Amino acid sequence: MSGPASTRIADRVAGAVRHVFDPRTHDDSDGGAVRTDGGQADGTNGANRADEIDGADGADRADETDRVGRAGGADGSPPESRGETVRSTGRWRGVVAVVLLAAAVGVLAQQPALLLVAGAAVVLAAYPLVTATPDPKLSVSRRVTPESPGDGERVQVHTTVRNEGSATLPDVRVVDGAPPTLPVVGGSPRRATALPPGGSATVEYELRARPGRHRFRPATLLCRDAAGAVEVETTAVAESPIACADRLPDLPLRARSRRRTGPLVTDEAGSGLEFHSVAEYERGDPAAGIDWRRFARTGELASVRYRTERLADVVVCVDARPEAYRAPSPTEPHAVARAVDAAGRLGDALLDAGHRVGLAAVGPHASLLAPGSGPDHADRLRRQLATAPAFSLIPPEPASPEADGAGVRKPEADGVEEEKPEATPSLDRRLAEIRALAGSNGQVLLLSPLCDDAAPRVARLLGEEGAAVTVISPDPTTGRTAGGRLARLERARRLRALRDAGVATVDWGADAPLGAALSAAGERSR
Amino acid sequence: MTDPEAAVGAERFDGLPSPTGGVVALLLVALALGLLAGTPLQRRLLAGGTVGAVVTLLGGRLWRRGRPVAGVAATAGGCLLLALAVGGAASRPARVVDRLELLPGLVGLWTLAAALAPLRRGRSRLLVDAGAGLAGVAVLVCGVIEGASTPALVAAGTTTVLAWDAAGNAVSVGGQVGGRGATARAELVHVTASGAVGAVAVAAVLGVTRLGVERLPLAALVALLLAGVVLALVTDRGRRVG
Repeated sequence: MSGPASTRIADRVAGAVRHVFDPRTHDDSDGGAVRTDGGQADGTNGANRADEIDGADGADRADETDRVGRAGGADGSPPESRGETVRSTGRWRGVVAVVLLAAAVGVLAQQPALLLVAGAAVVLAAYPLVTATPDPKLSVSRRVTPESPGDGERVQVHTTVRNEGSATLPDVRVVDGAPPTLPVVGGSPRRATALPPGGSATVEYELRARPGRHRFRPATLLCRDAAGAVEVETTAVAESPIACADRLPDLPLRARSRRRTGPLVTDEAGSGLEFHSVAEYERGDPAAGIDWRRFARTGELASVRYRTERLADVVVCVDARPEAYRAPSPTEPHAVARAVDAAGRLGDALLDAGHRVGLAAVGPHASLLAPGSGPDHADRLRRQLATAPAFSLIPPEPASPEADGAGVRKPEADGVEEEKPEATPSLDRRLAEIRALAGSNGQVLLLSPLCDDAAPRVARLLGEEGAAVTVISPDPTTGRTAGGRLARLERARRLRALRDAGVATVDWGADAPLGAALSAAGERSR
Repeated sequence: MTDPEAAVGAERFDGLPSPTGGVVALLLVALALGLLAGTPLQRRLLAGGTVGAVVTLLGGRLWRRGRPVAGVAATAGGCLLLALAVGGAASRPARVVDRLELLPGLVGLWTLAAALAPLRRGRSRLLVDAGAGLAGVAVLVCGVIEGASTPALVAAGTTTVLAWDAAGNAVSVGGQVGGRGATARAELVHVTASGAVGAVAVAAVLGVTRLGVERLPLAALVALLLAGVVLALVTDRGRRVG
């Protein structure tokens, strides 16, 4: 039984992870929030963290990296944090109302005993003022067994949080940053505990491995003082990627491209490796291509043609509209998480094959990366996928600030070519930008769960100026509920309609590895 | 079209109030009301209501955890007990003041159980405030009709605030860690710390009472109290700005 409310709460906490994770948002503050220094970052892995940070403004980031790199270094100096958020929860403010009410009633009823009740309440109202704001010095280490699991295998995660400071932390809430692409199948990555100096607590849970390379997000640590009036939020990175093998087969690029030789096998006859056809010999055909057996048999000269291999400009486009954040169940990753993961792997595979690859998002945030190639471009692409709000794995719901101070601000734009979200983002304009990126000769790989009727329209509009569109659709539907079955039927209808309209489609089932889905689609299209 | 549920990470996160803190809060309210209850009948009604509230809370949790039959049965049983207690409190005590004393407290207990079960998602905080507020009303009513001794009244008022704090903490921990995560240690430390402060508050106030403060003019007491509140508010403000 988990309804929208729970999802929202989860969003909020997950949002908190993202908020602190994003260094730019450290400029904003909510209410009386104050920032302090101190705290912790896992020093040994600090450098890795820089990979995850967008490198758009190099100078700032370099400084950030440097600081983190030093944190908890061998010199034994206290670890330094990238940033903490200190906020007042206002938990005890209501007690003042109790004081005033009891006093007022006591005065009106001429009852000194009620004034004494009010007096006791004053002591409680003053209680949060004397508790010390926690200064958490926590270290986080994570053990993942096995590190390279097979598909579907259970992965045990033990994340240990240790209090390295000299003060007792009466209320430590740990939310480990489980990879958003892997379902948690046992235990909970969350825990609340009290930690004496040197004390540690372990969060144990199980993930079910899915193909791909999965990264943990930074663990969120919320420390409250004894009264619960002040909350210090900090994050800690412990790098422990889970790699689950999944080789991507030849990608389903469509047979059209610029006239440049490359690895894309086309339907055009010419020189290449794969057999295309045998045609009558024409003057000028290379002698090596002549089918001498046929000549011996029939006396006619014929030359063998091969499929031409060319280079493609490919724009990998992720459907990240709010409608796309769907999952078969709360324990499964939603379609956007799978799409972003797939976009990274497709991008890597395409770049490895020498294609020029661009990146785009369809959603409330814009994110465009023009096609390019080379290792720098590969880095840019990966970074944009990891940090740009357009590829946020948190469903873009309006975050409402909550009374307990756990309200979370929206992640701010962070990336190369991004803009602030608009109130009503013009989908058509965004699609026009992506079309311009792909050009009339390029290809678009659209990753969309096809959960609404606008998605097929997106696919069609992307191909309007001649770009060849392939839709790779992670299936978020479930057969367990009537609504899910209906959604499944509607999605199948949309897939069919797209195929009928000449758009290549890959139906990527919930449990299938991407590679298998692509192979199946490839075989079907032959 | 009914959409498959959206999920954030791939984690079953319920965000429900923590049951440990919930039970502690209910017991604290019961303790506060017990301090006020003067007659054996009132105590019996209160005991029944407390059992009903705890059963309601645990039943609600079972229901949320995918055991709907047992959960609904327990919730219904708990609510029945509470209803009987409320009905008894409204009709059985001979004196009207005795009825007034217990009634808001029992309804508050019920509200608190509903908040922490939780019978309605997203309304927990509001219901916690309402439930603890009703228990506070019981304390005020008791003070007005002189239904309890001064020490009992002060202790009951303090315990009500502690119950409100424990319930609020249960909602807050639940919202961040969820009702499934291990939270008992942090919550018990929190309640113990608050309880110690509450004990100090009661002791301090009763110590002041020994000085014969009740003979002071009421206006002087009020002035002192207001000075204390203003001091607390100013300090709070200074701390937040600094």
